[in-house]
Amino acid sequence: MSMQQISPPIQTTSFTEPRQSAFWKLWRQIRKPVSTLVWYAVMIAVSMVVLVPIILVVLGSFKSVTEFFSTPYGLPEKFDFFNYRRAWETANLQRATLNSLIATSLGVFFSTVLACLASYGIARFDFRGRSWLRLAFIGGLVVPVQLIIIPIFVIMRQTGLLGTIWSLVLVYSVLGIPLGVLVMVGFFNALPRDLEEAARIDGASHFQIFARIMLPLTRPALAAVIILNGVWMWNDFFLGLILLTREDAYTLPVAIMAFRGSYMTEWGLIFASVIISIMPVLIGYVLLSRQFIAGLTAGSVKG
Amino acid sequence: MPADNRGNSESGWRFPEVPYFWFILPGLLAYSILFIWPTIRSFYLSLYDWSGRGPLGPIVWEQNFRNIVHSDKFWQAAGNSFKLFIFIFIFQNTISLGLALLLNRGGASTHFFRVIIFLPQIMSAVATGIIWILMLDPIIGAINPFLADIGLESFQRQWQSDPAWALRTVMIVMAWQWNGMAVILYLAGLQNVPEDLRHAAMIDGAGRFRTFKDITFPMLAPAFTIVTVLSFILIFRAFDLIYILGGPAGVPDGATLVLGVLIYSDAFGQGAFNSQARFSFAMAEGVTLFIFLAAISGLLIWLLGRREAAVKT
Repeated sequence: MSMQQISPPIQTTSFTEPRQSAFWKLWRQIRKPVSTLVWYAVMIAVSMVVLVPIILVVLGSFKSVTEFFSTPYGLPEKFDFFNYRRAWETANLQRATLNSLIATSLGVFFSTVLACLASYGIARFDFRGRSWLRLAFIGGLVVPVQLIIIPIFVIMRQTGLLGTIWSLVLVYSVLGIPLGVLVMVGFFNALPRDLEEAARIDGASHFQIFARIMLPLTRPALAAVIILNGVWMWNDFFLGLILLTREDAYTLPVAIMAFRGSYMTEWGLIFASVIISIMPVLIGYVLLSRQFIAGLTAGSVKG
Repeated sequence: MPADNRGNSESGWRFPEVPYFWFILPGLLAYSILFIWPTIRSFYLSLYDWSGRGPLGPIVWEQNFRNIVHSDKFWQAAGNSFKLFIFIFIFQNTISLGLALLLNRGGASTHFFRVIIFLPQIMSAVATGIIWILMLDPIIGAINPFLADIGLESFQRQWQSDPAWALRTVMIVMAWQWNGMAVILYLAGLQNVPEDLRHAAMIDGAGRFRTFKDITFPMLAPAFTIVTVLSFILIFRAFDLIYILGGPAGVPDGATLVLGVLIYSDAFGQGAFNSQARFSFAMAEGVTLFIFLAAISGLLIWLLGRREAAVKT
């Protein structure tokens, strides 16, 4: 189905004035401003649905327990960061933030390096089984984490890494590979071949070509992979919940949930922790919104 | 990975002339140890009777899978996962698609609203869960008083503890978080629909609806495939948000129990709801879910791919 079916009924009348009643005349005049108005109304309503819950949590994070229960919504008496200080010090969010930073940055680094190298090998060389290899990597996206985590748990227990942040770093480094390969193979494939041949003639090795010529050209895809993996690792709760059995290794999501169990009614404190945990991603998102939106869809669009 | 440099060296021992091998090796090695091996291991261990503590129990072949078929909890969780998927599927193809159509135009304000609508997508499940636990709380939450303010007192609920509403509440929260992803994917699809094609149709006298039905919608077929397959996989293995809202047992009384949470609870859950961990049983459930996911997403990609091909001609 395409244009052909629409073409026949050409209505020459569509450019003349078909109806002359006052109502239609008025409608023609106000149609544009009205539709703009409706558009803004819908957008503002949707934005409210997104923003109001977040704003209420931000407001709640400035309230003491008594203040919160007397006025759960509404502005706080004053914008004092006492909940943030308490969360940072007493609830030991300091340690959790550090752990999250370690796990995410190392996880992103290793998975990106491994995925880039493997993608380059798969995309730029002809050999038997390369499409199978690509499929083996990308197929990882369909495997439920719940399935592989049990043997991983056993491996970590046997190696004594269970409970430490290093178990999480290892798992992130590997679980980030399928998405990286999905995005990077497509991108490396699209780069022109003569680039490489010219460099080859100049005596550059394969690795030099990869690192100095090809990789810099894939910067947008690289940014997509880093954002995509960075956001999920920073936000991940499941793997941390299982692997981090020791409290001093808790990442932010795990620490906040543990914390919620012991301070059920201290809403202000919990909200402050939540805001602290969102902040790094939020700042990145506000500064680089275009890259984030493009990045978070890159993986899925290419597939 | 400098190993490959020596492939061209003049003298001495030469590395094999398969440079791609050295590029792929590190990633493949890591991936094999912590991904492929655990996957195979799960298939293998699901045939045993093993709690996870102590030595491996005797091989019981398909007994764990028989137990799954007779497990009410499994079917309850599978049913809930399915309902969740259907709801999100409908939501994404009405509300999210509609929003994408509205946002498919230029301008700074459009970008501003896109940024807001996509915002929940970058938030952690823990943050989203806690935000909505507050909103829905019957005592301090904002939802019930808001309903009263706009004259809908009769719609007030004990959102999370009412068995009839607990799952619907999870659906709404999930839709809130995942809407942004579907909107952006559909927007990316819409940007592939050539502007002139639509204009041509309009000039030929096709109304807005005709243009959407005959031009825009068929051209959205690839985006539809991506949105459907992606949400299918993500929902059937979802854990974080649902666990935070409903806990390991899917309160109340399993109403919010889904497959992703059930597998976790069977393997690692201790306490009142599950006296002992059952690794083998949980792995059998994981294997079942994996086969189901792989088969259905393969089928979906094939079917929707045929539809895409039909549209192109």
